[in-house]
Amino acid sequence: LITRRLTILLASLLFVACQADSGPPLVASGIQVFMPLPGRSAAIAYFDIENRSGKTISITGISSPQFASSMIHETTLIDGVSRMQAVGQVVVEQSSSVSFEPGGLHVMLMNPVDELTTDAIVTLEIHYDEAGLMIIEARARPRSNP
Amino acid sequence: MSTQRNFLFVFFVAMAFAGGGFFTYLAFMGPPAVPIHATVLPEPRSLPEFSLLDQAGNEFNRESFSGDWSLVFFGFTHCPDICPATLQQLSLARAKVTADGDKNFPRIVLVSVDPERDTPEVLDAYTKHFGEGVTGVTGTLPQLMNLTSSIGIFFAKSDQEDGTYSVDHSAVVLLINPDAEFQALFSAPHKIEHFVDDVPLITGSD
Repeated sequence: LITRRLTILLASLLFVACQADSGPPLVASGIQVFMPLPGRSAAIAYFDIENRSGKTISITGISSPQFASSMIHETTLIDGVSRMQAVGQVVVEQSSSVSFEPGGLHVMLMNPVDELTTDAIVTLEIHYDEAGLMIIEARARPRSNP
Repeated sequence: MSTQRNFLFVFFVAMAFAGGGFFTYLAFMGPPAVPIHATVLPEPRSLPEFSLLDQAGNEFNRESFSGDWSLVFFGFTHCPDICPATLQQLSLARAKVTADGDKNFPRIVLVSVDPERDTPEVLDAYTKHFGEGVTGVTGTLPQLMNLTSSIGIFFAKSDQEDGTYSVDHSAVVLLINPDAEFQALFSAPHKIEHFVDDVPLITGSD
């Protein structure tokens, strides 16, 4: 009886492990890219990212071939005061999500290589862990007409 | 005895109808609407005398608030996140409210807390992006402090690792009444619905 139960348990664990490895480890949704405002050179990107792997993942950087540089920043709100600072990495725990959203984490995309036009496809390269790379895309929209 | 019993019967029937009517009234009319997102000051506070410049280079002072309701946000044009997000939310709230038939949504005023970089010309291009009814205001540091210190608005320059600077600042949105008095405030984080729901209730244009 014990052997049978152990077999079922091992089979279940194997099934769960296979499920965890069957898809991409990170899944992004709700991707928004806002074009630079008049007189400014920084676009901004927001999205939700879900870790569907069986382990913690660290996002170490986000770049775009259409921009000269990019940085992950975080706006914090403490006692009603907004502060912004650069963030080195973003940890996404297993089976959880992290939101890049207004008033929180966001991606600053600075100095477009070419002029960015409305509805142009912007590519974001999400670098994670040692050599992980995930590519997502979204159309650039003006703030006035999201 | 029979008369007394009849009287009691009529009394209880009347009470039942009255109670039913009262609860029907409540169910259909609901309690009077009050702002639930904004903090309304018990007594509006007069703004101090101050002197700034609007995006056209004209003087913008206490009198500039007279006659109209205004939603006032303190930010700066190099702010990539919360400042444009708040102006976007205010603009979309105004578009929603005016589309619903209320043409009296307050004007939106951005007071720049970055006098080094935000000239009237810079503010002119920036505020136009958010549509009509958005005013950009700036001034020297002492001029700004004269206004902000009296109404509890904080701002301070903050050096960044890349050699640039940001400005830490209060993220509140103030509602100024047509008598140039500070009447209510919306605390961050902001949502479009907060302004759509509460502004008409406070300004009385609902």
